[in-house]
Amino acid sequence: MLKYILKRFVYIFIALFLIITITFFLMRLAPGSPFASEKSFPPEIEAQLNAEYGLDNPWYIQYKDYLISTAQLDFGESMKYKGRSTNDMIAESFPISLTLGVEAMILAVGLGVLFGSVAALYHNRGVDYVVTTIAVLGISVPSFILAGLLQYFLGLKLQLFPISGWNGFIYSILPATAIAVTHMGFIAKLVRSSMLEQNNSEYVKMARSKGLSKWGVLFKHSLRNALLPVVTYLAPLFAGVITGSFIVEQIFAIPGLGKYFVTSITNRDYTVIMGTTVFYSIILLLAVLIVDILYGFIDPRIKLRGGKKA
Amino acid sequence: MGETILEVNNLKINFKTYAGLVQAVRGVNFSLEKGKTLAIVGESGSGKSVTSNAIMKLIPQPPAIYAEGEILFNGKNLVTATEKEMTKIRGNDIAMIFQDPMTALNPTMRVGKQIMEVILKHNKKASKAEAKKRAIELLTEVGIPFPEQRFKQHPHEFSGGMRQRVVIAIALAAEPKILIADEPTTALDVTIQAQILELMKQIQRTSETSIIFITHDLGVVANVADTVAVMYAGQIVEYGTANEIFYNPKHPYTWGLLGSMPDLDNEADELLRTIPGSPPDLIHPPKGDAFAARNEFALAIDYEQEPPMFQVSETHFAKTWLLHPDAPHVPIPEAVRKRIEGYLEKNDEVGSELGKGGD
Repeated sequence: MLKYILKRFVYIFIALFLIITITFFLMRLAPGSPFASEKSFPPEIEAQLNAEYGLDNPWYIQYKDYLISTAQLDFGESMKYKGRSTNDMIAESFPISLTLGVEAMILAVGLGVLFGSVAALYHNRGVDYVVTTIAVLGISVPSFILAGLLQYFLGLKLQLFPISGWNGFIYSILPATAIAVTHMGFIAKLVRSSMLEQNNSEYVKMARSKGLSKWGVLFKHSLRNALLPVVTYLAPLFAGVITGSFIVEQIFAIPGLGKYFVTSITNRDYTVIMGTTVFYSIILLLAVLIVDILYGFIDPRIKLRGGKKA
Repeated sequence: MGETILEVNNLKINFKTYAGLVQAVRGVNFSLEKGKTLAIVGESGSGKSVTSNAIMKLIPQPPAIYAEGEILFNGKNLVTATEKEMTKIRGNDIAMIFQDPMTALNPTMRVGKQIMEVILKHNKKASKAEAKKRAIELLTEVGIPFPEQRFKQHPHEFSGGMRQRVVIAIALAAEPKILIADEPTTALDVTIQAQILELMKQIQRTSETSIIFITHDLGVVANVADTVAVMYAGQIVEYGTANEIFYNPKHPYTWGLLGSMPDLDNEADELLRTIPGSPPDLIHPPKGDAFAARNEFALAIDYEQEPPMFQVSETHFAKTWLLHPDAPHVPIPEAVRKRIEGYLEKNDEVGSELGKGGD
């Protein structure tokens, strides 16, 4: 097990190295520069700025500098926002996105699994149709429309929740719901089909022949077996959701991490692009590793091995 | 005659499908006595598994419909029983052994827990420690070595034969009065089959359990059954003691089944006998005798009118017009007779219990 995890960490470093390299060359390939704006600088000033950020060096020197700074996990100062380091930007905004993301995850997974199980239990009956319809709606309605609807009805009309801002738990409910609904619908559909497959298997019939009730069979037998595909989906979902959503954070005026993924690119803010990319990659790779370890706990047939045979 | 524990009267079960209503079971009658074994024999699609699952009410409704008839367990009609009443009967009074031990156990649950579950469900007074003790006893009883270690393992750590023993241990856990074995040896190899059959016989001797044995393997039937019901197209076509079915079969379908048993000792030039054709479509069951189209001895009336159950002896019934007083006398085909005799002889050599007397 330990050997397996060590091996996976080696893979993570290789993956990170490749991600940094590809990001670096893509940044170079994209036209424009952090200092290009409508009123152009005199060439002397631009040359000075380039010199300050090391952009006048040949590409291999810059590449080496990025590798070194990434290895030290210090991504340097933002090229757009003077005097702010990329690390500070992430450190300030990530906790907000993380809170929102964790809330959304709990909602999406909790309700998704519940809805999916109920739909499978009442397969092809009224409840199933209602749940499936809600799930499909959840998947197909874009989060910005849902966010707007939530703000209008629950915020403005019913005055139940604040419309925007970030000032405590109550502020997080609407945006978390807006993020969660799509994923909830997807998880519900995933759980439903996976449960139906399990319900047709012999061991579920056997569990019923033991005298267990419908719900007993669900909780003690079929759910655990049905969760494997859901767990697979959770890793990228988790990484995506906790690093913030550009659209939802914009709509609810939440100072989260989500916007930097988009604005850093449009600004050609090289240091922030590198910082957010590496940060997201680390979270995603770790989430995938955790999911792989979880498999072994959910299904005892899956054994993690560090050796070549694995 | 012993005490009747289960009685099935005129049971009819239909399945709603897109193609139409499938009449899977078309009026089945049988009874099971305490401590006896009833074998239900028939080819795939003859309705034997549906019948056995129907007793436990394990067939999903919809699409299945209990169209007619009753299932009396100790006088109580299970057809009208609620799901809640059924959860008290399943596992506790009637337990089931499944065909494929590779898929019948939950792959993510420890074997011991799967056995304990039944004990804890049906014996509210049992503590976890008692249930564990009982589960280990059961594992020992079904012949699993190192039960304490095995208790903690998962199903994938067991071989097929061992898993079937676990399935049997689970079925026995609440000391059921009836054990329904749905082709329990079909998925196992021959040597393991013999062990599992021996185990089941031993269980019956010690605990007076009644067994319904579903199979398409007549060789197994001769070993275990007291009474045999031969099913075809959702109906029982011949019913009698094992002796009567093997020594004096009356229905051409039974002849066909007995004749198609592989016989290794016979002359090598004889081909494996088969029953021509395939079972009828049960969405539109044929008029008259359902077996007529595949029956080389079919009479004109077989295509017109369904035969009634003719009584051969006090315990022996067959549903064929050949038994009508006016019908021509058709003896068992010589080849089939030889094959049955050969088979019985061989069975005697290995110490079969057949011939212990149909009481």
